[in-house]
Amino acid sequence: MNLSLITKRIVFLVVVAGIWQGIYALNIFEDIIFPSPLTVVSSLYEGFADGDLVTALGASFRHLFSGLVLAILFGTVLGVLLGKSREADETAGMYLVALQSIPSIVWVPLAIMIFGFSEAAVVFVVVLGGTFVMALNVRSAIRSVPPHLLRAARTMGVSGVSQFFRVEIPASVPYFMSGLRLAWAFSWRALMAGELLSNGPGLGYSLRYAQDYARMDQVIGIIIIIGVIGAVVDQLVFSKLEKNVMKRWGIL
Amino acid sequence: MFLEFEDTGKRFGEATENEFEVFKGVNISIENNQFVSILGPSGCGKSTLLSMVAGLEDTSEGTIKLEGQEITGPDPERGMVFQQPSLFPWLTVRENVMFPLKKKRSKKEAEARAEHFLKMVHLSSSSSRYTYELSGGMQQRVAIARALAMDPKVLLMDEPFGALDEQTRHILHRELLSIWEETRKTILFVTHSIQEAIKLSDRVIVMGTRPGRIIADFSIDVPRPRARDDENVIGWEKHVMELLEKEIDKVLKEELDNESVSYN
Repeated sequence: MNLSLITKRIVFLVVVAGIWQGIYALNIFEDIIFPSPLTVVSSLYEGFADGDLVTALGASFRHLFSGLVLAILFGTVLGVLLGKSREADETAGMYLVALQSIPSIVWVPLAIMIFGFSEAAVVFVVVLGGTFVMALNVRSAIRSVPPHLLRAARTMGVSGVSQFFRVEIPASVPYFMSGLRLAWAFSWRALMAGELLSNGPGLGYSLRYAQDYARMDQVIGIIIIIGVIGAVVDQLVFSKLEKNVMKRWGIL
Repeated sequence: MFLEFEDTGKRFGEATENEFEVFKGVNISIENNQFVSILGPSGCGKSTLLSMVAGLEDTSEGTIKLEGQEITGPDPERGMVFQQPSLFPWLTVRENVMFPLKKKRSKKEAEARAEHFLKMVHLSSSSSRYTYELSGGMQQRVAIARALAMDPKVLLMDEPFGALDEQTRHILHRELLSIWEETRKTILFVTHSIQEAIKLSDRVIVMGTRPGRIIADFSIDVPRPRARDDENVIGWEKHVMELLEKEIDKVLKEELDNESVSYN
């Protein structure tokens, strides 16, 4: 990234904060629904200083990590099954698409009825949020292995199980990476939906707590944290990983 | 005979109504250590015939035998180079060449073998690179090294230089001939280029189309290297061109009819 790009982005941020401060200074809205940028920053600082936000973040990442790992696991198994077996795909494939289209917040009541107001309920929602999109991508990954690579492998005496492990799996890595990125994005959204309605701890729970106490500065602060984490993880981890893989695999 | 086609035929489709006969009654005997080209217009089934030797396609009729053994499936004794290099992008050049050797030879032996054949195709300096860093011609050379590393009895090449530019193709022709002179592998080379077939081969088998069949079989006894402007080479090219013109017209006419364009 070049310097002028960074400068442009920082200037943009400063301008937005300036406009925000300007509107605040006009005193059109009550402070309780329109805090100044400085109040938001200081409430963020307080949150981190007294450890509340640190605990919440830790809990959120714990939920996300366990949920995402399970989602990747289930999604991969499901996707490989549907990708390899025409029978399985014809039978269950379309239901997977249907399940994928259900917004994750819809699973929250179900999760609470099964697991109660517990962290398990949150993890359950995260798992459902990531599994289906992962499965769909792994299915395409397995299906889109170039047939000429399989033919070449066969002429070298590599077929069956060893072909699956030595050709099909590595050849599916690019789509698998896209699946990973989407699974993360969907799980992250599901996590917030689950935590908002949970009994904590977690970032989503802190957000609702702030709402209950009419702390708009905290609400905005936590929304900013959620956005920043989402963007940073996507840009610095998954997009980068995906791009590198695509390049190596000759797709970009 | 080394490689023998006996009444070999190929049909696609099972039911009688949509059955399509590619060719039938193909009889060819190929001697060991020869460079043989199969030349023909698109649709004559030359690539299918080669895939059958590779064991990637079943024979519908007759048999294909290598050293008396009937071919029933793919085997490393028959190495194949495709029109697409078909290299594995997650492996380095060296690892690609080692791919068929895994489990069959020790790692050290496989590495040494890979280096040897990469040297033969003049790519030893690129052995640690990944395939996306290579040009099309270099990728195809890796594919040739990979096929040779298995030490196959016969090397099958399916229009291996068809996607390359003229310049690169010429360089690879020279390289292939020197490899062939060094290893003396039997090569079965499929192409639609008359020039390429005559430039490279000891023997050119010409196939016609609709129905696919062998229409001619020549031994090219012009000494190598064969210059483009060599009288004998030009003579052969003209001769084969005349033979094929009728076949190519047939294909064109059928394609135009399919487009329901009036030809007359």
